[in-house]
Amino acid sequence: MSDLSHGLLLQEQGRLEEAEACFNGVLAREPDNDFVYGRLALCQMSQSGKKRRALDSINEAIRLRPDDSFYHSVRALVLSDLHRGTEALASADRAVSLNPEDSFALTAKSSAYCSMDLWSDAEIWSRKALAVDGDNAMAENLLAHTLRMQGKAELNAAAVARLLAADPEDSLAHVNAGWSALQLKDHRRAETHFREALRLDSESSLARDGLIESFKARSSFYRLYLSYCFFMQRFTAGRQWMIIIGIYLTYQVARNVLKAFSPALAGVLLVLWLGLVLWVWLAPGIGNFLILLDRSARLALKRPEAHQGLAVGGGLICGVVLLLVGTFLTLLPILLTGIGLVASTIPASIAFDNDSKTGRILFGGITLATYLAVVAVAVVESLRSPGEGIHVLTGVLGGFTLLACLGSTWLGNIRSLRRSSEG
Amino acid sequence: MADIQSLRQALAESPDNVPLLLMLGDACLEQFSLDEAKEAYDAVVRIDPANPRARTHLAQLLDLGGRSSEAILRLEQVCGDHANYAPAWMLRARFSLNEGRAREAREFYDRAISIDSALRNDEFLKRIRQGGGQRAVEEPRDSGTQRSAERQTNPFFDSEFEEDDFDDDSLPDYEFVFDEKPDVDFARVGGMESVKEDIRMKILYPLDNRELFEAYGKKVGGGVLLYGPPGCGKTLISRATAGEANLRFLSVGLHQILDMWLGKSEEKLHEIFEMARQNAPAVLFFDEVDALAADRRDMRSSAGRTLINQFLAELDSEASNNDGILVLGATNAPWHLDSAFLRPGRFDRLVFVPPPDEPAREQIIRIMAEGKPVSGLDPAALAKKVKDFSGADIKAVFDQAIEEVLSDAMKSGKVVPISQKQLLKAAKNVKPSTRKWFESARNYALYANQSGFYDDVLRYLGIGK
Repeated sequence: MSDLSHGLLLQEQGRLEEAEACFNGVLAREPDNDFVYGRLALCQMSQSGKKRRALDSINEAIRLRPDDSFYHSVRALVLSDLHRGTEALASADRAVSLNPEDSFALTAKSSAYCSMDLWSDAEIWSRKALAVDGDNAMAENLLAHTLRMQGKAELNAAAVARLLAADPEDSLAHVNAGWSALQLKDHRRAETHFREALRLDSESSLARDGLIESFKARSSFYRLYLSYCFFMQRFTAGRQWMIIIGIYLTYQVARNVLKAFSPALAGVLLVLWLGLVLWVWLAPGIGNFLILLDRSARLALKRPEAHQGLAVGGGLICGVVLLLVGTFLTLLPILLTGIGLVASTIPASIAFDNDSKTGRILFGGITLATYLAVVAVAVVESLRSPGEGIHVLTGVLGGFTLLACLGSTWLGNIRSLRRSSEG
Repeated sequence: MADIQSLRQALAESPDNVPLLLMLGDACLEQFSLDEAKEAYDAVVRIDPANPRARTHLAQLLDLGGRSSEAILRLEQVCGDHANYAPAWMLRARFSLNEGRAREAREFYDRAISIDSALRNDEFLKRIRQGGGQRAVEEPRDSGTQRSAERQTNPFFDSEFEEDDFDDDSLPDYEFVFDEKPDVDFARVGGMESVKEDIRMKILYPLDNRELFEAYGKKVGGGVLLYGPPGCGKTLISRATAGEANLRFLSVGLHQILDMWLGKSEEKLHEIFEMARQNAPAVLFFDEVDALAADRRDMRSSAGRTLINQFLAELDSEASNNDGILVLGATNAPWHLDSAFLRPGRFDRLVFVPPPDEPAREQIIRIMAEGKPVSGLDPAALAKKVKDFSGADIKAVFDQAIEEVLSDAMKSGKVVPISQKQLLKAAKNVKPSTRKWFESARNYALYANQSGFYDDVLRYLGIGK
């Protein structure tokens, strides 16, 4: 059996790493085999951390055979995964121009639009792909996804039902069904679908992520957060920014107006605003913390998620307790430690479970600096007598730390600080 | 190739070091310093008279010296003594071709690559074929016009088919030889007591108490699946099981079964089982069984499905009398197995082979250190530091330490011993490859363990569901 046959067999069985090794073996002997480069790209694009290599492989296949629609479609899919929407769209356009009736090329175009968060365009092209080939499961899954992202619940439910009817053993269909159920706030049904998806494909990260979300959604606090996410994800990144800035400006105007009439109400608005900001940022971490408390569910968490849960949930609980104790007993060091720990939860919420290495370093650094500042402030203030007021170092460290923590809420909206550049 | 001068210097320090002598012989042979090469190989044969590598090279040297007949005789002896030493068969193929006996050359060539497929040499094969060493023509399963479509979709399609339509060179003719007396038993496998006990309970005691079993209407034999991370001794423990039970042992590799010709793979599989039946009681061992028993849902091609159906039929159909045959399968990827293989009568007993435990690691370390200049070796201390390491990982530790020492040895021109400290340092740098396996296994154990298949993995990971 040749390396090529063996590689194809392994690829068919989903043993991508081994298949990749076989294809590389073939390419060592036949460096101009575009077919093998195409296959290699397909293997690599389905493995985490290998998207860039997949791009290199498919580029090589295209170099050897520039007029193959299939290769341009694969390139579009790889670029979509790398969040390079514009280039993905260009590749998909090329694929469609080479073979306008190719359902795969049309699906690749839908995927390119998805990567740009242009859901209605993505819906149009996945429908076109399905019009050419009604059995195209990838296009059907994309259609279900785009409908859900646009909040078209009924159409999404119908698409999911079609997917499951066509193949009840399709892991991705169950993932879609799970998300659809989560959007409809039915976390139990969602959990069932995600579990089924994992039974069918235990290494599906999509299904595992969904299962964790369904665990978190057991809490009504988190379901509210999910509704907020489902609302926001209908929009492109630019529009999301506009909404955030709009809400912030509205808050500022309202607070200034309220200040003139009732400073107390303005204070209440401030607390509500801070609560909203904390809620949006801390919900995923608190969700992970709640999962950690469940003996069975915690097994689904990966190490960074567990760390996030501990840093955010644990930090928040300890911080609030210390804050209350410090306030009631008028113990400044304890009060300041509490404030610091609560503040640390903001950068910590995006420091561990973050796909971007730069993001992990940046937010991890801010979290660590906050912990160190908390210790320094607690020590400095403990050494001072009551009534001496706050030490200048406390003011400087505390001020910088709080600013950095609040700044994390803005920096955290930069997508490149949350997404992997490696693909 | 190592520097000859450095090898000479190293040998001056350690004159009976067989690996060094072989390296020197190979280096000299490559540079056509035939006398020195002969000296080196002769020295090996003095220390280890059975050494097949040295004896093969000595035969080659005789041939190069024009004493072809003597060379052939010597080589025949090597092949007789070491039937599984592929380079000797390959050299025989070369001698035969030089003598103008292409058909015989082809036979030896096929034999060599059936033992070690890495020896394949297309150029040499071409020469054999040009000399008239073809195999019998068989009917290809597809016409040429269908091939390009096949190339895109069929995993059993062989690209070489296009180049060589009438001679299947991708695989050898099948010749399966039973290992009459496996030279390994449990006493020679260090540690792994829990695995051995598991095998005793599931395999050996039933074989020893055949009548007792039959009194309850149970058949002795059947199938046992060994699964676990790669490089952790599944094959060794299988051989040791056969040795312990004093049964004949046939190890079947994937390459010996899979064939591009439609129906041929099934035929080979049937022949293997038939041979095992004729030689019963015997152990039939399938390495990488997941490739032969893959989940049919993953198979688009009907060719693959037919082979799986054949395998299922051989294991327990009405027509198959497998009394006295113990079928052992080993796999790193049990999750790729078709669930039909795990039903009663097939691979209905499971043995989880975890990474070597501490005593096993200690023994592996001792074996790895054999023949190497290691000073102050403390196998127990090193074994403690290589928890979760597979045998291959431990080898990587030694390789890394050797690389560090070699650069010093090359500079000084002397044999520099490997110290315990260097081994411990290397152990820190090598990451156990089993971790990745356990990451996957953990997912399957958590989410696809409906029938309790992965309970042993969960226990090993300390997860109580």
